[in-house]
Amino acid sequence: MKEIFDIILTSLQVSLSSTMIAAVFAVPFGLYLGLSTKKTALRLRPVFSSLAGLPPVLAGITVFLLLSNAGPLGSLRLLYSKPAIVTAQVLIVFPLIVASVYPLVLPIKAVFLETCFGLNIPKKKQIRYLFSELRYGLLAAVLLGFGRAMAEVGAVMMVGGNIRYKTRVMTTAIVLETNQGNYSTALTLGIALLLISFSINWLVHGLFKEVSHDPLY
Amino acid sequence: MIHCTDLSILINNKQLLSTESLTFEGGMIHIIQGENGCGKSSLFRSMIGWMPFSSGHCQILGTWIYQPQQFHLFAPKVADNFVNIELAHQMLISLKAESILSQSVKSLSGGERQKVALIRTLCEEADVYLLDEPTSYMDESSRLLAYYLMKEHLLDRGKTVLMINHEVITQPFDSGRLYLFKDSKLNVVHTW
Amino acid sequence: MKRLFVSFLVCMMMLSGCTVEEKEPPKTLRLTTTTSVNDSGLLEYLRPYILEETNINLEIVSLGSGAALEAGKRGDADALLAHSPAAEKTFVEEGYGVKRSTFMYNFFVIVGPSGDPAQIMNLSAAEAFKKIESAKSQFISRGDNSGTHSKEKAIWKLTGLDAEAVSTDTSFYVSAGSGMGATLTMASEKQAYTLTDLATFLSMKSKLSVNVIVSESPDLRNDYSIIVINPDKVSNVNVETARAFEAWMLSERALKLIAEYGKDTYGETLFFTE
Repeated sequence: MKEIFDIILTSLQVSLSSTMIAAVFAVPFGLYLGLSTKKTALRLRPVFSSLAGLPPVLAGITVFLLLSNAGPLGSLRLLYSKPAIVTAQVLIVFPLIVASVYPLVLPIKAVFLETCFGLNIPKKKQIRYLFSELRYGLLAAVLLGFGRAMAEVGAVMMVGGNIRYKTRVMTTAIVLETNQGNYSTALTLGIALLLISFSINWLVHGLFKEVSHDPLY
Repeated sequence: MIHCTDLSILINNKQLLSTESLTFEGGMIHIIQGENGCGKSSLFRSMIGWMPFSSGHCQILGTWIYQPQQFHLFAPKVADNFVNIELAHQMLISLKAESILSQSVKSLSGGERQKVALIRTLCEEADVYLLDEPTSYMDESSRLLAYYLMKEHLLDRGKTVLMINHEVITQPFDSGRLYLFKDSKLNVVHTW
Repeated sequence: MKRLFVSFLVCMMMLSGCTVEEKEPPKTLRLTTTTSVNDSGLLEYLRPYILEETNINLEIVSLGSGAALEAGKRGDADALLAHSPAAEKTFVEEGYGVKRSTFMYNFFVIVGPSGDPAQIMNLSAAEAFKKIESAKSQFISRGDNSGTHSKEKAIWKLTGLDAEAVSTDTSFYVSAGSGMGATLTMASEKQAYTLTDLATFLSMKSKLSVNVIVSESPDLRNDYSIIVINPDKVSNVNVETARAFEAWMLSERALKLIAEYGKDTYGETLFFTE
């Protein structure tokens, strides 16, 4: 029982870290990508949308080859560790958050930009305005990323190695228990995963409801 | 003050504006009228550089602030739109709308939105103000209060103010010019 | 429309009748094997002989040992091919299997870094494990209750050490919870020791930087058995075909084929028969 609890903690620990690291960069970048009228930004948008849909094992093998002994970062001895899992998850979650953030900007973009130009508001401050204005959409994007990080199996298996007491997370534990024919333990872990996901979303939904008390909203 | 020479604006091969020389002096209001789609908003956008001129050039002396016809209000709260809350609050009082300061932007009516946008513009310090239909959704009495506010905060302090407006007014402004935008020409029809 | 459909059906029946008339359609056998057996390629090598000589078409599902036995209990397989003797004995005793026939064996090997930091060369497996534990050299365990993992636990028992204490000593013992391939990759990356079956190791050797350190010690023997699922305990299993398959696998002819397997690819025999 204590071991299951530890596995849940490890899951939360790596997924929260990777989501936070990814969000800190992906949210401002996504807002910038939505707001920018530069050609490179227009070209980058579909790139991130497709990256968001790529199979996560691609991120897994990339991180594996980077961190493996023979790889360029092999000397860091990071393969089969929590930082390795976090790195892979950041690679998976970053494009997902970017791809769900930039479309939030598009509907208000033209009027927003003209208004800011008229008031002489610098780019950085514009992004700050958007940040507070779109915060619920942004929160939803980050939650989506967190859900994906928690649910990831293949990449986590590759770079984390599913090591007991160290890098075993809920999804890899479920795979292991299923391979061993321990379907009831696998199911217990699955239900725990579902409950965590539900409670986090309920919590955020509750927060959301409290703020939007406007009748017109 | 704004000084324009040989201005020409072409959109989709349609000549919107062609004028030889135009000067908008400070300390008086410049009210521009014209039919829908004649190019009034495009003129403003080109003056501030949001949209290129086809030819000619326009020089704005000093700093400027521009309020587009379709503007964005920063959400979620009305207060998020003001840097100087104290000043904004006083202006809201003079528009008899101080209660909206604590409201959320999404709950505002069209006229209330224009009040917030106008005050946000007036709170900014600049030499030239370009306002594109800032009062079109306001009711009669609010509109008059808004004109008083503009006079007091801008014109009495010598600022240059250009306003696109469909209502023909001279009151409460002490001096000004009324322009008619027609057949791609901008003509002065009244000066007081 | 209806007439057209009937004539179409008749045509199809005639066509299909022409091709199969000479020979009975092959019987299907659902065989569940442990991953390591399947990875060795032995069954793919035997498959054409089995089809030719017994008219049985193998449908192979490869699972971890625990899941393989579980599949047998649920009736998802007609026969099992496994290599975890202790678990298999319980399985048959509980009545899920008719009987268990051991028909071939090979040896597990202990692989590790070429420097052999724990100095276990030429020792028995139990002695080697003892030295790895006292030297606290990194050891990767499958940790997935597979046949290989069962074997590893049996060897720890032979050392006289407290197996439970060893498996929770994170200072040197790494429980990977992965298949043999992933575990070997991990051992190679971490330059650690691990217990593996020879077939999987040889098939991956070129990509690994670990070598065989201990082999052919009697306590590394690995027995493979066939279990025919008991139709009295488990419903909807094809016991006739399973028995026919078992009989063929135990025949002189099959044992000879098995003993030859791997010589031309790896230069050494992968499975021994008695």
